[in-house]
Amino acid sequence: MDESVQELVCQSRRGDAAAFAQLIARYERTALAIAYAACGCADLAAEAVQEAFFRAWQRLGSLRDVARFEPWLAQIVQRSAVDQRRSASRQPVARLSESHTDPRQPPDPSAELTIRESSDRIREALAALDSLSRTAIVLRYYEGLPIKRIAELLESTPAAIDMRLMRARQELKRMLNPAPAPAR
Amino acid sequence: MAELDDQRLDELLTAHFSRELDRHIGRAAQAFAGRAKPPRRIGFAWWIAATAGAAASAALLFLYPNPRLGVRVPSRISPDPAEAIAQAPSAPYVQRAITWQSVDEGTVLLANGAPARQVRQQELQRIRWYDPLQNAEIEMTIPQERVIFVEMETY
Repeated sequence: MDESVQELVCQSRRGDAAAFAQLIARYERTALAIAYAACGCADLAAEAVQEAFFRAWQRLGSLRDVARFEPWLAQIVQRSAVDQRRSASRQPVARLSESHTDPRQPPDPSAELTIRESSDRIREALAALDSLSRTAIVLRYYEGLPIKRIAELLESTPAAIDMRLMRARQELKRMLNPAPAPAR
Repeated sequence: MAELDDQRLDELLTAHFSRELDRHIGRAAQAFAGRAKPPRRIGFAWWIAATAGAAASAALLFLYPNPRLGVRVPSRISPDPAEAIAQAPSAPYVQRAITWQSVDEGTVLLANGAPARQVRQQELQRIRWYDPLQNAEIEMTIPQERVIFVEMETY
């Protein structure tokens, strides 16, 4: 973690909301990736991230080592995502999860169906992975984080993350490959 | 569909995560700005100033009772954001968000016997604006629904 982040964390601990807003801007994508991996739904992940940043802001005083801000935040995000998933399962609601938000024109239904089918298959394949591998995959492909940074965030070793990523990719490839055509 | 190679898998995953998560970027900062309040530190000087101010206000109210004082209730809220903009003395704000959702309702047969997928497209338009004349914030939600048939390939 670089010094500018540590400085922002210190300022935030002193009650500087503007400094914390800068931390949000810096870590929002990472937090979204972690939350999405934990709850499997983008809308829930976004809500979890909002809640997690607010919890982090309130609990910054309990962070003993400023240099460990990233894994500390990652844990808060993960817990918040699990809470969101749990409360969503208790109160099922129809979500606009496949919403299209371009105000200029409605989406092409045909293209939308193709994208949706592909998204559903990817979601199913991701759900079949173990939690750590799934989080590593989302951080790698959404955030583009190097293996060392993923390992730091998830409090693991680079070798372990590398291995998880390799196996997860093989598994995803196997699950996402089209089924072979039946022999005639 | 061709077999997935490494590059195709990378593209597929990157596009999927962007499609799912990019639309939520910026929401956390917005939510934080709305909820977070820095810890309040009120010094002794502030207490004295606040007490003196409250005492002065009470004295003024006591000395000059005014029957016209009261809570002002907006008499008419502008139903049209364009009207609110036109009448605004300073730059007003208008927020407009349109969300679409498509529900795949399965395969149906059209009148000519051709198979098609029936897609129900639901639209939710939300307009929010501030009417400075009435000092009121207004929100309007317009739901719409249409059914679209997507032609299917037949073999």
